[in-house]
Amino acid sequence: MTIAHALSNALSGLLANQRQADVTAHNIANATTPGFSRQEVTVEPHLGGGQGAGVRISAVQRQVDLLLVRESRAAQARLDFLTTSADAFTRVAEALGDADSTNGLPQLFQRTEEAFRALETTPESVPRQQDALRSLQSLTRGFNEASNEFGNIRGEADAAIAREVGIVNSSLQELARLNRQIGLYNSSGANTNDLQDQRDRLIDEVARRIPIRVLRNDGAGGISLLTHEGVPLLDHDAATLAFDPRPIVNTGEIYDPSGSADPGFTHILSGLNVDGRDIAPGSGDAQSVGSGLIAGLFRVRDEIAPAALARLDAIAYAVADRFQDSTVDTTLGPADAGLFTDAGARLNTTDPAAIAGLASRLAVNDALDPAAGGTLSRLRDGAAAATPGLAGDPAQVSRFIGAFTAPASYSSVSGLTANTLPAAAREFTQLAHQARTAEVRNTTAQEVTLQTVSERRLSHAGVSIDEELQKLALFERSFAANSQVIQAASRMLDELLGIVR
Amino acid sequence: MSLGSSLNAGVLGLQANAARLATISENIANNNTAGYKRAEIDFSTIVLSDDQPGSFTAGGVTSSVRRSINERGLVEATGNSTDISIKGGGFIPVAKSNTPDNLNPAGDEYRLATTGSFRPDVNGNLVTNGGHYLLGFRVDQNGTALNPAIARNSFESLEVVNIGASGFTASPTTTIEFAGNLPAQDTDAAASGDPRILPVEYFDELGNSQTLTLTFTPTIPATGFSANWQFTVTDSANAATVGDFGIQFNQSGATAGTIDAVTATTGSYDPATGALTVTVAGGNDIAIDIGRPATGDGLVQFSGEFAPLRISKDGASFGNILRAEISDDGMVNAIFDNGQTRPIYQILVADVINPNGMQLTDGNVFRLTQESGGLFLFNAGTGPVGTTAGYSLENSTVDIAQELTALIETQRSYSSSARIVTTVDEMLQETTNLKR
Repeated sequence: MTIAHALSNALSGLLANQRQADVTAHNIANATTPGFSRQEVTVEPHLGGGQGAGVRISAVQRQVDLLLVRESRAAQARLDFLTTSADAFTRVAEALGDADSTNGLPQLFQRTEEAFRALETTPESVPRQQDALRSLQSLTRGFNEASNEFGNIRGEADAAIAREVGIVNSSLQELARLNRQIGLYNSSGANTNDLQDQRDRLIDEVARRIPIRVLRNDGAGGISLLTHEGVPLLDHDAATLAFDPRPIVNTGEIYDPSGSADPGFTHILSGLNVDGRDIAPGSGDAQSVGSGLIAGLFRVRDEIAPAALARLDAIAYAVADRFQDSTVDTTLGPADAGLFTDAGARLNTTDPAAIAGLASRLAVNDALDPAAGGTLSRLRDGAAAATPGLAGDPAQVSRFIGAFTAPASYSSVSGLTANTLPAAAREFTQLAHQARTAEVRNTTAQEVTLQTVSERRLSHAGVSIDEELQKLALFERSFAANSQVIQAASRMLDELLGIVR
Repeated sequence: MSLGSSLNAGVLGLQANAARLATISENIANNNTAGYKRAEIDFSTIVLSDDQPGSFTAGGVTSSVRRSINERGLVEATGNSTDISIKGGGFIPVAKSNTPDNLNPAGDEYRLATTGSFRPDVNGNLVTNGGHYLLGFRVDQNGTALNPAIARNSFESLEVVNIGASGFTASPTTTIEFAGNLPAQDTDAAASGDPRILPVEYFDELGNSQTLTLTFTPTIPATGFSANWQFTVTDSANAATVGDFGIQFNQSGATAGTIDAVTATTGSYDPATGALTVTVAGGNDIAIDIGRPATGDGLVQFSGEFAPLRISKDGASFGNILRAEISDDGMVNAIFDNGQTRPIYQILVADVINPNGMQLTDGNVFRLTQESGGLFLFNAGTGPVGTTAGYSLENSTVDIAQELTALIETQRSYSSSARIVTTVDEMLQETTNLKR
């Protein structure tokens, strides 16, 4: 061992210490950076030509637990799925109103029934007739507004899918680029830790929208992404998810690739296409997407909101059907509209398509409304009464009230019990609130699960400042020792030069 | 006359030490020259008299310079991928030529180097600042020599390593390793029979990205579970079914869930390797490794979800060369911007019978001489030669401390010899003064 050798040994030690300090500084600087994984330097003796030539850095490793990462991604996807559904259930329930609200659907039914009962006692009273008309109008408005709101939920979900699909597509493109870059740097032995962190953050972004599997390719360190169900999203190139949003989602427009839709609906909404294959939930593909934000939005668009709409339409249909029955309103001929109309006309019960979106079209017959050229007294006499009847005759009003109190039957898709109209509205509201409560409870439970997994992921990959500072102190001492060696070697050379004089 | 011989010996001593000083100064000057081998001086006595009683004639000293070419310096890391050194013995063949594209064994100067900082010149030839071109021979993408007959005892088979001409690459996919789970419940009598579809990208010979669509269709039995799948492989390049297999899985015992037997309708299956072979549109064979029967090292079938766990494949699309790197077995690997690495040249390492007999020429390279004997070219890391290493240069073998110590010795020795000369001069003066 010569002095020069000692010098180069000490120099390698200095370089290694500097690198260790650098990595520690990087860790500390990124202690609060989301998605940063702690890095650690591993050193080994350097052998040059078979003899010890100091120390060298064998690797700078990221501390990542792949299992925890996978678990936390799955939990995040599930939470996003549940949150999206829970939000939609909440909006449905709020649109229908709860027990305390004044203009919920059950309350509107109740008010209408009360107005008619008041009219029954004094059928000649014009203010009471006006009151009854107003209550009918607010009831139809209640149906229209709820239908609108459910439509909005679907429209917003459709637009949100387009937005999220856009984010997934751009993330996949970015991932493909990062993948190539990492492969390139890896093959030359360069450090790709921070690129890999960036890639992991992007994968997190994709995974919360569509649950994925990450396959690690051999060799250059590239990855492929498949959906959890096994549809490739990223290989050498990124796949493009295709989704075609509707500018406005009308009530009769649905997503139904199987073609089993009820009449009156058009299958026009977009699915989620990858390489010509539809993997939207409900597409019938065995490998359709099952969880994540996008699946949640599809569920809102194609399941939650349409189910609420179907119930609302079923009740609206029962209402219109009941009041145009000639036993309820004896003035009606076979072609006359009752108290309620389907957009101004008599509800066509022979048309199976008539129920689709009826709630949005339900209106009070113009024949009753003076503002629309109708006659107010028809509330007392019947919607098609040609001439005003006896001013004090409550018979027709009683029949109208009977329509509210007799059980009615509802379209089978609604799943509502054959009950009176106000009771059906109450049942609908209760079901909506139950669904909301259940989904919110699921969401809360999932939040706890995610938090547990995230904390474990963080404690494994996160930076502990105390620990880093401790290491830094160690590197500092080691650096000082190495520089001592250099000083000693330098003094020895000085001694030699001192002799030559 | 012994006084005269003393004067002569003193002068020879001055000369010898001056020569030693010259080697020391060269060594110190080249202290940081990569690959420099220190010059050493050997002194030997000149004897002029038979030692007879009563008479002694001083002989003197003569010096000869030699270089310990086989001595190796410390290897230091650098930032250039084509800085090459050898860990262990041996030399890198290089050539100085005005026509590097067409070496002429008769006219060009072949040399050997222990290390060198090679950079591509304007034509992509790897050359040192001293104008020495790196020599090697071309290999194909598997590392096999294009010319199978490499002369091992001369330079004649070697050509200049050029990384410019290997600018592009694309390599077809030949192997796809596939591991995953097929859902056993899908083969139940009551199941829907829906297929599981998995497109896998592959590259044809031109680097086009094509897709093999792997379709797993469960066989639905009348009762119970069939544990049988129809596996078809469709090629996007010609839209044809290139593989059609029936895969039967074991249903019970210790091997439950593993492959029992594979029947091939289109393509073939080798139970010994576990690979299905399909011939894709371009005529290439692709081996799809699904695992051997009864081992579970690839495709398995358990009751669970459809889970592709590993799809690894070779091949790469078109790429441009970024740089070249040296591996420890002497392969010059081109690194392409598609992440692909491919060997393009192999460098051989020369073993010389008597390396110290070689002659140093400009640029720290050595010439074979009569004294050194012939050479034999080994693959790096085999026989007596060491492994090649990129990103590194061999330091000079000069040790400053040793040189400074030698400097002290030389100085003392020189002044002693000078003192002899002055003493003889004084004695001769005395002799002259005897007669007045």
